[in-house]
Amino acid sequence: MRGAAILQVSDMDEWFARNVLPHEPELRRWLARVAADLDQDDLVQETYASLAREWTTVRNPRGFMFKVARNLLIGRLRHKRIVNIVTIADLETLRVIDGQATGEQALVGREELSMLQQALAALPERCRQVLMLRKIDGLSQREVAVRLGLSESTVEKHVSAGIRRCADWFARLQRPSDAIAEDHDVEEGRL
Amino acid sequence: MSVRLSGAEIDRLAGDWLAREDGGALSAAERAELTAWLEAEDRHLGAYVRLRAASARLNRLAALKSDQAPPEMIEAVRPAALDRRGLIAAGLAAAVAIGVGGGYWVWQAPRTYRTDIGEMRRVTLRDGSMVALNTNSVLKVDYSGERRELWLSRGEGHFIVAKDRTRPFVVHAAGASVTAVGTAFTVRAEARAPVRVTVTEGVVSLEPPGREQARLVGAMQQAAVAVAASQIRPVSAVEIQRSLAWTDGRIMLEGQTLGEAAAEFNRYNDRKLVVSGAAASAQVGGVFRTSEVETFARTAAPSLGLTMQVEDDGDIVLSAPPAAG
Repeated sequence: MRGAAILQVSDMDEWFARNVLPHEPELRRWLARVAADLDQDDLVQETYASLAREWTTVRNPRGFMFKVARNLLIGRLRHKRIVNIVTIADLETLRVIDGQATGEQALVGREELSMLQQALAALPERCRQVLMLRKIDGLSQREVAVRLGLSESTVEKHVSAGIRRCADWFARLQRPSDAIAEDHDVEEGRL
Repeated sequence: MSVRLSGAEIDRLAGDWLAREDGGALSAAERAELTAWLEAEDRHLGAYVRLRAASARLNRLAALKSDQAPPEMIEAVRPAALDRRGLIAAGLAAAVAIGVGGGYWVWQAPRTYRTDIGEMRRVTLRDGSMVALNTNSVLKVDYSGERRELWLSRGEGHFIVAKDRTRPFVVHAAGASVTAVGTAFTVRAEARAPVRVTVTEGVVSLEPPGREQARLVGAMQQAAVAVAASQIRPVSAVEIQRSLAWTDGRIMLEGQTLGEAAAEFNRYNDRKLVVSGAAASAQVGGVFRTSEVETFARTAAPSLGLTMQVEDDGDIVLSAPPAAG
């Protein structure tokens, strides 16, 4: 039922692209620091799932993201016999992030385009050609197949792999604004 | 009970669903299957939503698309199979199969391919080798001898060579020759610049003009050919992609100066982009269609604080505004 609703909603995709994806690198770096021994992909996927259920009412996506991830972490840590004290301390600092109303940090305009182009440039050649024709030229998968002389199922495989690679590329992005946000957290944490 | 899947495995399944939807509307049965999959586990839903967001983000690349596809793109992306059929039909009368030793080769009259400024062509040769010919280029192909010989007298070609150990594939340009058996490489021959050979796959043997000995150039290397001493240097995957962007009808800029970018656009367009004075050293980035010099100028001008002027003959001039006071 919930899944069926999602299929109709492309506003949600745009909302996630703008408000959530840009914070994923920061979330992953934080997870690597406080919970290096837990499966990061699991935690990220579950965080996205929670956001997917509540996105229409979320005012501060970044804060919500970190809160959900923290709650997931705490849930997992309860199942562990020995809990690292440093981890708990790090989790405490997150209260600061909750209250912080960070504006949209999505890259805009030229900077965003150039970042997307770099993501494309990092793809294997065929995969990149398929995504360029699909996303820039707006050809359908069928048209891409005809132009490149590939089968439609091959094009579909390239689309799947290409989007996954790009998502992982986005997840590793290092931007100056992230570093500033983190410094900011630490400073406020001392107050 | 099913085995617990890793995050990457779930991503793969989610990506496959996304790609299937992207290819066309799902049937009712497929939609039900997807819905069930999404509801089975939080991680499925999360992976799927995350990849949809990544796909939506990539849709912003459509901003790079022009309203009408320039004509050269239609030629540029024509499927190889079509070219081959056309070529075989055209060459059939002239082609005579003759036996040589134990094997055969097909004799074919030499043929010359040309592109105009702004044009790009893909040609599939008789042996299955493929050539992409960039703007303003001339390539003569002669398969009548024991070697597959090509002369690039002007411009740039990217060659994907069909393997045939018995018949080397030789590209001549400005006195240098590049010999390959089965590999992929680009040769660029421009007036007043050294011939550049960039190898994307395999190895080629490069014979520079003059007395210099033949040298091997391997994958991910570029040679600048000179009469005295040719230089061979490694190139990164990104550089290779940038140098081959024209095969998709595009120019990829990443930190080149505005002056270099203008020279690149001017290879493809009759209307020239002129950058005056200090403005030429500003660095620019982005992917543009080769024909979209005006789009490029309109994008670059405001972000670099330059003024743009279109001359009567269509040429575009970018210059720094006169200093205040």
